[in-house]
Amino acid sequence: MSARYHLLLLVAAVSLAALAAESSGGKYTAAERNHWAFKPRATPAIPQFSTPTDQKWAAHPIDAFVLKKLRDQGLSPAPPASRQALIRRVSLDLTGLPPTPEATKAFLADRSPKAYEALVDRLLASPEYAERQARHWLDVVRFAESDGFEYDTHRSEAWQYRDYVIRSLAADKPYDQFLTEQLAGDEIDPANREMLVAASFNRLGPFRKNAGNQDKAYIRNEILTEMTNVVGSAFLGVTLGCARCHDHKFDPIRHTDYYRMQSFFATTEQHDIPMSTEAEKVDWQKRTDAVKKELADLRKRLKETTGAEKAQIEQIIGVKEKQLPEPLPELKTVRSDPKNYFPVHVLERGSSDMPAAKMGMRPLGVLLPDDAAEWGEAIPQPRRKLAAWITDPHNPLTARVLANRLWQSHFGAGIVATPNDFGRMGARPTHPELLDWLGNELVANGWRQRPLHRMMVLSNTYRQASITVPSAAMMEKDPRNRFLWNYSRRRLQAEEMRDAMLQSAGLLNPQRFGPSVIPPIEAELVNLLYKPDQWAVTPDAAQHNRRSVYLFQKRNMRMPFMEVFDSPDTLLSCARRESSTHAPQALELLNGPVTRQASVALAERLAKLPAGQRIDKAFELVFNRPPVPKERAASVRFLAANPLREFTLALFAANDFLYVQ
Amino acid sequence: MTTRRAFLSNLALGALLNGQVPQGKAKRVIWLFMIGGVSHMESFDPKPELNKYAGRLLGDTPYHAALENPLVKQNLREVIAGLHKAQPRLYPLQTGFAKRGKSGIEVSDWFPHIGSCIDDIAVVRSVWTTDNNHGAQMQFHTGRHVLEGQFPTIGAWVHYGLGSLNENLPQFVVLGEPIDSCCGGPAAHGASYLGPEHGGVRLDVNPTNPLPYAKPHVEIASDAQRRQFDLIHKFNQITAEQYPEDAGLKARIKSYELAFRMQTAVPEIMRLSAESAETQKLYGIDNAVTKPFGETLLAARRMAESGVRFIQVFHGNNGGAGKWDGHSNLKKTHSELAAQVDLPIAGLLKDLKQRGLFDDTLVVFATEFGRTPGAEGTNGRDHHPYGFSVWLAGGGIKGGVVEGATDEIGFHAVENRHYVTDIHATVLHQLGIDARKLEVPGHKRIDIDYGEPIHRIIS
Repeated sequence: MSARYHLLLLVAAVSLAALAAESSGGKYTAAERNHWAFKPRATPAIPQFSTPTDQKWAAHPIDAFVLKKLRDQGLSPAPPASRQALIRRVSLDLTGLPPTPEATKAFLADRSPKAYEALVDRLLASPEYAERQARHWLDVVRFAESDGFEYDTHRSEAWQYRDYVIRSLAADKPYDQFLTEQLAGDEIDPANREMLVAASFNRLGPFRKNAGNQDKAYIRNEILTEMTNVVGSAFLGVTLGCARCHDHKFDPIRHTDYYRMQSFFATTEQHDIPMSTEAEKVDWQKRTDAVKKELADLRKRLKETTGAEKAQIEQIIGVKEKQLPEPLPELKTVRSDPKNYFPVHVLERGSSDMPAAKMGMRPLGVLLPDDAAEWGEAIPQPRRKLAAWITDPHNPLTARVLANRLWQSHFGAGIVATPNDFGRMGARPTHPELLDWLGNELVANGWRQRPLHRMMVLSNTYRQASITVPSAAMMEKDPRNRFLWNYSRRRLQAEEMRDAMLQSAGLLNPQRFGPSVIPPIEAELVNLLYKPDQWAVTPDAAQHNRRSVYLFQKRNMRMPFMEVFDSPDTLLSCARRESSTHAPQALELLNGPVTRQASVALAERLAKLPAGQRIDKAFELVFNRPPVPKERAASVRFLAANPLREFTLALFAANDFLYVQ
Repeated sequence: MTTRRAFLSNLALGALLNGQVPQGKAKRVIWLFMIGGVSHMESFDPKPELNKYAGRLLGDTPYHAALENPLVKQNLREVIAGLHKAQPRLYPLQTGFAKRGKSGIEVSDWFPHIGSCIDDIAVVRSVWTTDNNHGAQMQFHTGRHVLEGQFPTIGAWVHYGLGSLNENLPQFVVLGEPIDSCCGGPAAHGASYLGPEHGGVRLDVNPTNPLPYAKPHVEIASDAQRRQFDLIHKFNQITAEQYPEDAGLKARIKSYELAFRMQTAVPEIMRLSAESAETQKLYGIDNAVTKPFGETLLAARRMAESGVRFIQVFHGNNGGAGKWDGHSNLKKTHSELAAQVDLPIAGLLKDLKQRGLFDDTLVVFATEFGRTPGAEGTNGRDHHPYGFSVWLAGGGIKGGVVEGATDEIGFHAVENRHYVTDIHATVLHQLGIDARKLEVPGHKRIDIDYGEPIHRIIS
């Protein structure tokens, strides 16, 4: 595991004198305040066009803003995508699943001018929509179900948070409310289980358990750091964590700002709610005591022996220690207790050994007037107050950050290409007016996400074809398609790939919600775990075929299929998935168990059909289109000499399956 | 009209454009990159004057002109102005040094084993770069400042420009954990506009699981699998006819071809147990401190032997700017890190020699910048782009020579100055490639991209 935290510890010490001078509240220069992301959202005028063609194409404000930039660059939009391409694209974007052959057929047959709109509305209303969108959010909040680090203890109730996210998105819960519940659900209603689950957001980060002596201040600092940093990356789109050790090197976030933000967590403590029955507790205690007794006996013997036997006993102790049962299930959430106020100090170099001035609560100074006073040290419901500040419609960051994430989910790249960093080191927006317009729309729609998704995928910008042979001029002016002169073909994400394979093969178990599924995995990998017993495969095999969002997310072991196709490492907030191409991916597709299982099942499904229908059906199920004559001919030739399962595997490994046009 | 991508698809190999097969002294490169910035003064460019004037402000020493030198401004292109200071209070050397070998080149006491090989090494003490932050990591590989965007890396150019020595292995391999996303991430072994098929392929040095899924999940005869590959290829070709321009699709097609052959080749390469105990010891695999990097370098040698063209080895990833970034506790951190790499690197050089591979294998030891002669805080050194050290060995490079020099306190590269692309040019020259002939239409390269081969160190 890479210790990413070290980044924060690398930099120069801060002088105490400088801190003292700044502790009154701090001043920010005009240049600092004028960074685009810190300025209020504008109400940009919607660009107007003179020609009827442009006017027609740009009837929606989104398209008007995009077309304006295209024209400024001397570029033109691409023609619309085929309906066949469009239904696959929008189905995958909105639900993470390809269309079924029936859905494709129905859409192609529907000649009504509202056919696409109806399709979009159906997809947005589907349960799969929320599962797909939840996956994006889970990336951002670095959701995982184990601690990470050496022991990587499992968090057996963490799935409840994942379900909370899916339910919230299915209900299109306003984002301000969604955010507030996650940051401060326990403060809103400590008696409401749903709110406590939401607040387990504050416990999602990796957590290091130390063997041996526990340094309380150190551990507390690690916990608070995780809680604080994610507020910056997930909600505000600023690299707040960079100010942990010193003033932010690039952005106007002072060292003191960091600890003033952290101070909102000064009364927050871990709250572990037991989730087991009395009988389970008794059984657990019994099993634990038995191992502990054996260990005690062994340690006693160890003291009395020497030489070879000693080494042998040490080895047995090592094995035995790993046999201690995993902790009983607990819902790991937080609570605020003003009586347990644990003052927050500025820490030199971020080290708990070097506390300096005490800090009270206050949000980021650059978004407040100069010398703004602190809000206090132990105020009631502090995280709720922080959430209120973050979700204030006038906060310049929050709405832009979310609108940008939604945009990225449909257009491959955000308007700001670095969704977690709107600071000076982040990318500049390609379409700043559009970003503000989208932010305004988000707020005007009561912070609901569905209307934004809807207008994005209904836009002409989204409905463009991906250009097969771009002109040299296009490639010269904008090789990366940042101005959206066509649809950027994209590779499926790991989860989309697996889910689509399962669906095509007729294996997908649509069951929603509930404890995460541990699928079988190669023994060699399980044996690499500190405690191989942790990987307790879910007994019911039908569960293994559920959507990927329901698979257990273990920090120290991602499924190889997920890892090789760029799933996030869950240690830090993941703003955007990589989309790499390399030979090990080919090996995984050809030889790995995920493809193998799906291709065998699909072959069995096809075998039930008359031989003459198999090839067309296979193409419909995997590529979501019929084969072209050349493909049909190649398939016929192959099947004359080779089994169906090798044919279906080839389909899953082909570019037309792996890419969305 | 030929578009860039269409051109690329028709391009066989850049170097062959001129109808010439490269005839360089080197056939392959092992590129060692220390992430974070190795102190040049405490490695390959010791500066005793720092001990003499320790604790003094630079302005109060005979070397006060260093700060007013116009190079301070000319050399520097800051991402954010004023972040990293020149650190005026001189900091003494944190380790001793000695003359090594017959050549008597001074090397610090943290690198005694590399020091013992110094007569085979050419130390370039006058390298400079322009970014004084860790974007310099990417800059060292692309030759361009991070503000100018992403460009092909040296490994990608080698891959693009040279034919293959072994069709069963990737020609550009990345070992060790690459640089972090803070500082360029995969772009530091990427191919940018050359297309993803020219990018580095990361492999794990894990003898028990060298290459996941190197074998089919169920038994399938190899000719049956060959037929399956052919079918996938056919499907992809049909798609490619529709999207003839798409480099991504093309790269994936190639990735299948390579994957098929790698299935048997990579596990064999990573079988380090095939090496004698003596060889393993040479790389420090018998010692916990040197084992991880030793295994990596042994794997690198096995790859070199099997015909991989460019093996890019990273050391010091810490999920951020890099372990070598000694802003504080430099003595402790640098000495520990040096202990991890010193013996294995010396072992690699000796092993290449005993196997007769040294003469056609070019080894490069590099880092993104040096560290300030002045102290940062109480016990560290800041980033220093104005002068630092890189060394080369083997592959037709002279041994026991020093190229260029920094001033007496290690501040400026003052003699025979070399921008980072001079290192690239030297590497390409030794491989028999003329960088200026590697043109890609639509991508104008500028003079600094090419650099100049350092002829004085070429034998």
